[in-house]
Amino acid sequence: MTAVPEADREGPLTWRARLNVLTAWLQYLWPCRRWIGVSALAVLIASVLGVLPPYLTKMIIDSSLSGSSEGRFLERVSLLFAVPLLAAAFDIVRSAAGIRIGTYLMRRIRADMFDKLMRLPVEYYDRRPTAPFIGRIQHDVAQVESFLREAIPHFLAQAVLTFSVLGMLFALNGRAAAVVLGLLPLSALAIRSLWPRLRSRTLRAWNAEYGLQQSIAESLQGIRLIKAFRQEEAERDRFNRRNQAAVDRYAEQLKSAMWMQPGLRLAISWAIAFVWLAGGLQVIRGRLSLGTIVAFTSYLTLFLGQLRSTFHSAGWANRALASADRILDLLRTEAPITEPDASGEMGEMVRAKGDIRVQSVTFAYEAGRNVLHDVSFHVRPGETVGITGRSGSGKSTLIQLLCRLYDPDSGCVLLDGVDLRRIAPGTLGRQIGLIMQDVELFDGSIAENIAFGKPGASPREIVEAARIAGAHSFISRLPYGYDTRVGERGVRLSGGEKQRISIARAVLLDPPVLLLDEATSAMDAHTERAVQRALERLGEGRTVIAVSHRLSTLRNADRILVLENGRVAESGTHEQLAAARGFYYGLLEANRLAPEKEMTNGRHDLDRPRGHPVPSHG
Amino acid sequence: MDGMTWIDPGDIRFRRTDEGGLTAAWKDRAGAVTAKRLFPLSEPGGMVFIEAADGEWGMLRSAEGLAPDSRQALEREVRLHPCVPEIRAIVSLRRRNQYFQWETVTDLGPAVFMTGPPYESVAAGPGDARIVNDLSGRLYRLAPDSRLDSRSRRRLRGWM
Repeated sequence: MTAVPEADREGPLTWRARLNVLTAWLQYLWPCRRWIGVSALAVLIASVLGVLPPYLTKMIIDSSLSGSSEGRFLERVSLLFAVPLLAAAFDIVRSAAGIRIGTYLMRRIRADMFDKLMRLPVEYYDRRPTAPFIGRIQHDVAQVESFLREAIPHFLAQAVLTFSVLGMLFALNGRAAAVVLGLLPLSALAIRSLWPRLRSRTLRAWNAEYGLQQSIAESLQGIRLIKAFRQEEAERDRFNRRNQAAVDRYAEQLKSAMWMQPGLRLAISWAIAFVWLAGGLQVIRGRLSLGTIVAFTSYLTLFLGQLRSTFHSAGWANRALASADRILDLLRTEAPITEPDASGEMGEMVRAKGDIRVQSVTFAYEAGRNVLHDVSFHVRPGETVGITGRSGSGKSTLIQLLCRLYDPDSGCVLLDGVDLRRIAPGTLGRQIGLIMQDVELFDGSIAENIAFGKPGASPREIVEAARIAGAHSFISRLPYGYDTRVGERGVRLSGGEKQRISIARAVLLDPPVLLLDEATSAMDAHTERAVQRALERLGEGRTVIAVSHRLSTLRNADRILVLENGRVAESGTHEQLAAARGFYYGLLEANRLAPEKEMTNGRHDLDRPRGHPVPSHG
Repeated sequence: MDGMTWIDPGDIRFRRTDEGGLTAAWKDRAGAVTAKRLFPLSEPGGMVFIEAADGEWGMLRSAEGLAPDSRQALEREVRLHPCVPEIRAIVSLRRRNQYFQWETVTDLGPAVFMTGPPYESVAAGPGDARIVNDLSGRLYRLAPDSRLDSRSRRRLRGWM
């Protein structure tokens, strides 16, 4: 499902792969090329200006202080004021350009990542925890943004300064400068040997942070379950282990660079002391001017400072590249559900009639474990069809194929004769309403939740939808009516209230096809009756496909399909199937004998930590 | 799709009683009623829900079209039901350990209340409004920056 196969991604990083990554990032930078140009020019000028002061100092010491005119002295000193002022001005220009580049990149990369997350299919999220994406969108983008914003001018400045300073060193004293030049290959070797270690430590630290983030998210998402089962202590232990691992990795990362700065500082100080030793003797013997040695040591300090900065930049680049890899991993993920052809036949469809045809559909979540085998049936417009079967028989999977959360492995699902794969997602969304057992509400007002599928719905439309869904009565008694906030995932509402809001949402959407997936299964009998009435009102004049293990809710369906091991085993009205004494009759007997609660297939309102999923593909 | 009872503003009369309650007369019904705004934050001037002890009467789309005395009586009732004061100036906003104390001037007079940290207590409201949620669960509408004086804006900017 990813553009780059897993095996290739785990292989060595080739130059070709590096080039691909670089090209991808250059595409991001291309729209800011003018600002990058401005920034680079400002850096060039500021760098050249930055090289001048030591030479001016030499001129002041050697010429102006030794018997020259006061006027000339003041003229050169005034240059010492003017040159840094100009350099500062160009630095400000560079910063301003950097802000432009950075804000553009941050907005664009974040938007692309979020867009990708929205386009990826449910299958993508089935296989990975979702909470760490928050960190990836924020932390990784910030890392890459600061690197791309600063890196080009920074490295350019380093290169310009290094070569300018080297030029000045040669101009001042060629032999001493040649010795200094010998330092360059040494530092290149040092960076080359340190780079893989830095990269590995950065990745290890990030992986541990990822685990920690995941642990926090799982605990918070499952907080009710943790409290209900008094598992706080166990969760604390789990968190502490991950926290310790993350801190250890972080310390490991810091320790790897711990000796570097003091070591470099020592090397710089000794190099300067050595120049003073060798050069000072030359001055005493009259072979070198004092100004030259002052200028030389100043340039040397600048040069070695650049080398030190290069070491520091290696760590910075490492973190940014690791973040860039993760961003590209996401952006280059390909969705298995394909966008409709340009010739999508439903482009012009305003409202479907509601004719559903399932043709020879086979589907598996994992290769080799088919959940549905060659399923075929036809639902006419306005017909109500119930689907039942034992847990794991493929009922909910079928619903997920009908609303195209997944695509069949073979066969097809047709709406008004058009394959769902050829209908634009937006168009399909308007044709099919889905009401599930686990109602998804977001932390907004009730009105916003009802209007989720139809942003911009008027208060009147919202109230009317709530009335049909049987929700108006409890909403109007809430302290802030339709503006009452429901809390994260609707925690402030009961299961029945949440379900009625989801029905109101479907009423407002007014789709020609309605899919009900165990919509009343987690409710008590009284609430179930009220919600069932609301669903019956909603179903009038629409094609309804209702999945339920509670046969009482399907009794009035025009037709009932019984799934057994992913195949349609029986089909007919309640009376026909009951009289046939087959699978349906068996389920009917089980419904009569078993308490309702025992028949639920484990899908309750209680949250569960995502780390302990309950498989439910039926 | 319409199962609602919409009350024509021309048909209903409201009156405040001496005890401060609200009575209404509509068609063949009369007596004490409660009136409540259904969208107090997003459409404060919009839908009003009318209910009596014997059940729901229906809804008024707005107070527009009511007789002036009826409108006055109704608006006085719905202004407090639910009560969402609008903060028009912030006299002070101080941190008190993990809480924040707001000293404000609202359309209903001065109000002092405590909230959690502003990033949790101040949410984006409908339009350009912001909604402040105090520790007791009461909501306040915070006027947009353009309608706040410079001192209030500065005090807000210190924390938000």
